[in-house]
Amino acid sequence: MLESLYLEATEDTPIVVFDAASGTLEITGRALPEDAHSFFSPLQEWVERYDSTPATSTTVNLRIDYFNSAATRYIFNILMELEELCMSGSAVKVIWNYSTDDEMIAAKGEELASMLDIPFEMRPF
Amino acid sequence: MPATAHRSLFNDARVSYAVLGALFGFCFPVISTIVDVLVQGHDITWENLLSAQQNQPLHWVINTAPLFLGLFAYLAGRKQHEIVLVNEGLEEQVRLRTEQLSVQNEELRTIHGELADSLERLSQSINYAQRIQDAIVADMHEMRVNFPSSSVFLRPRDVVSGDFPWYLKHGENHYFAAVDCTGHGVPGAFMSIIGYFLLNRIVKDEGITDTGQILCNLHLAVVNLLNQRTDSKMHDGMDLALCRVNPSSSEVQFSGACNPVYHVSNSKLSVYKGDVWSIGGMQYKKRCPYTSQTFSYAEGDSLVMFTDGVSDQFNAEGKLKFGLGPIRKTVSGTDCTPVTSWGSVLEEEVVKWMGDHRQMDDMLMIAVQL
Repeated sequence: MLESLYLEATEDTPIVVFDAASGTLEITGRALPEDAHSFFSPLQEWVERYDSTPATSTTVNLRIDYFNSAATRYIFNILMELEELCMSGSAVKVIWNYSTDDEMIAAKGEELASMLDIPFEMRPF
Repeated sequence: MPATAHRSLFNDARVSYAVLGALFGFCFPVISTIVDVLVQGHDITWENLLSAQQNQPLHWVINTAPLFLGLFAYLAGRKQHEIVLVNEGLEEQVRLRTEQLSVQNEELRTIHGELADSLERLSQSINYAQRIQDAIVADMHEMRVNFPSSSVFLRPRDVVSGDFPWYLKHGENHYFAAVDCTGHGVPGAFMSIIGYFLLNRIVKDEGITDTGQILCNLHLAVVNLLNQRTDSKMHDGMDLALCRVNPSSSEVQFSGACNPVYHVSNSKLSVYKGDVWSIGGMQYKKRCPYTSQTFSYAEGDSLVMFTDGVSDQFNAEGKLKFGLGPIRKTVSGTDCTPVTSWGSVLEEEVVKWMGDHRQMDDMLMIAVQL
């Protein structure tokens, strides 16, 4: 069984909780790492390994207040990995949590939804 | 213990207390014997004193005073001695700690010096790099010559920037772009140089005029240049709004990679959204060609292009983002600010907005009155 991935938040990076057993992947907070590659690579590798032994259903819970353009690309790539899992018949769902005050984050969610073939729920708070 | 080694015998509280106690105790037999001789009415002579001592057994008891007082004083001295030892131990510890601290302090001073040196060297290097980037941004002077009512607001987060404004006159067309490269600072600046040269190459050398086609070519060029077909982990690229203005047909053609353009006509704001695909990275099956949108303009209309650094900037408390509202308000001209001032107005507002909060990303806005 793949070990859970847990990262504490810092000023520039979000809380990450990837739990293989329950199939819950959560990213919460701000994503503007100075070196996006070294922050997101372990996440992407985790998801790649998760894809080979996924839980019966997978829920991706994203609640991101801020991300820079590099972070957007890495998050999209992680979602693309999960899209492949979804294509192979596994139940995958993405929940995009956004503040009703933040039209940019809402728009970013809409964009991501349009770019991916994956069940995508927009959830305002 | 080095501090106690050279202490003389009488500096030892046990010895000095015992000796003083014994000396004090010795006063008792002496005084009692003298008083005894005087009370008996004899003279103070050595014989009389000795005889008083021999004949009065009470003196024998009193004679033990030096011994007992000495002994008690010794016990008190021993306590005092322990206190002295503890104090000396503490003093020694304080001395050692102070020594350690001064060594650490010295180390910190050295590290601080080294850091200051490398920071200085890095700053110099980046400041020099800024000159190169400035030379590229200097193309905007040509834009100001051809479009005197225009303004550019570029505020890099660091000294060099991943955002850059682009202007090129080619044939009868004028091309404008506000480009946001991934990263900021040095990596952003690298990408901006790539973007600048690729845009020039595509329009000038390849002769492409359609904005959607320019973005498609730009995407392919970035993918090839950064080997993104083979290295799926290279996600770098850029988001941009690109406009082609043709004064003879009074038409604007726009294509966007994630970024929009605002068209302001008689204080009325129209928003043309770009496509959702960024330039570079993301090799993906759903990716489609960039769309080109064409619209007419009247003299005096304005185009506004910007990157997300302005709208995404947090306020001093780090809770609220600047948003798009202030940009729309500034450019929709309700307060009659001339286009040449839009950049400075926006900069003033965003600087006030962020207060003590650090700038989170490069900021860029280009406004051109046609």
